Amino acid sequence: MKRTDCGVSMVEIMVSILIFGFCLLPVFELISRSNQTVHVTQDEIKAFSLSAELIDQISCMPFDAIPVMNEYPLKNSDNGSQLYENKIATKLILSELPDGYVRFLTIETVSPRMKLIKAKIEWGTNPRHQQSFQSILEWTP
Amino acid sequence: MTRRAFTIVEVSIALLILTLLIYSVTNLLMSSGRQYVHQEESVMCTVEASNLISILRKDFEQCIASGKATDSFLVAKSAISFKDEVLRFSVAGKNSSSFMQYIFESQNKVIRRQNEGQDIPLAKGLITYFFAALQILGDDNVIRSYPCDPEKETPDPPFPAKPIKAVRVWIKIFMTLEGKGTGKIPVKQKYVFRVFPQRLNRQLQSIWYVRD
Repeated sequence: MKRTDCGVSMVEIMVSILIFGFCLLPVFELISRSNQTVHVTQDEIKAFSLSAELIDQISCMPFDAIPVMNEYPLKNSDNGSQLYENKIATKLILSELPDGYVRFLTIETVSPRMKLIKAKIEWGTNPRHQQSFQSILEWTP
Repeated sequence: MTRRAFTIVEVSIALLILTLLIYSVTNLLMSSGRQYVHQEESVMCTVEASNLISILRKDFEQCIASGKATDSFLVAKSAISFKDEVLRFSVAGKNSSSFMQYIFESQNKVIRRQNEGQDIPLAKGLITYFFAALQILGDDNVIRSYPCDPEKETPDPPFPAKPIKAVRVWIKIFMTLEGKGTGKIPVKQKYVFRVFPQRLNRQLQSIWYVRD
């Protein structure tokens, strides 16, 4: 009987390492995905805070001074500007947007005594995230 | 029969490769463990911060002025205060107004929300910094902060001789949350946001309330 007991060749070792490496890929993917999820949660809180701040601020302005606008982009440079010219009560106090964030404001008239305020925050690329927040403002004497 | 054993070089190379593999896998597992702890702490801080922001917003919705001041600026100023790490403001209750307090205990890293005998700890063991400044936009187009805004480099302009009307009021809050330090990577989250008390602002704008 002839038996050939030969060792493992270098090529075989390399192939096995390659296969092992491929097996590790999902583990890396899992770690990076959970990282992304945490970042998205933090970004969502930031976006929520920014949109809530904008909505609350507009809701605190005198009803008659709030102008109607459609998806108006509010940049960092708009901080201190007035929504309605020469009306100090409509002065915007805006928190600085982090890099890659965009903020939009929409104000619609629902009825003579009711306005709908929408704030939308967009951020990120691939995928583009978005968070909207809206509130109804009623006229008060 | 030909039997060929491994040479010492082959065994050494195999052992070296195995050692490298074990080292890299152990490293990977250890770093993923560290990442997991870091992420867990991050999520905990984020959730607590969002919870605290939501509670503050909800409480400030009920904030009203209850003082007897007659000009709107003083009315606004008397409604909210931040002194000795205590944020205090009056809120509308079922029958009468009461005071709501957010007490920051830096030693215990906690904020205690106190109102009508209730004491609720918030962000327990996570909050390391809490500062609030009442900001009032006057009809002279100037924002004045009480106490001073830490982000503002120049001091507020002097108060003019003629009375100023408060146009809008809000509170600017600075807070830092830190993880409990169980992981090797420290977690530190800074939040700066503004809360606009709607009822108080409506009160200031109301034709029935402001007497100046």
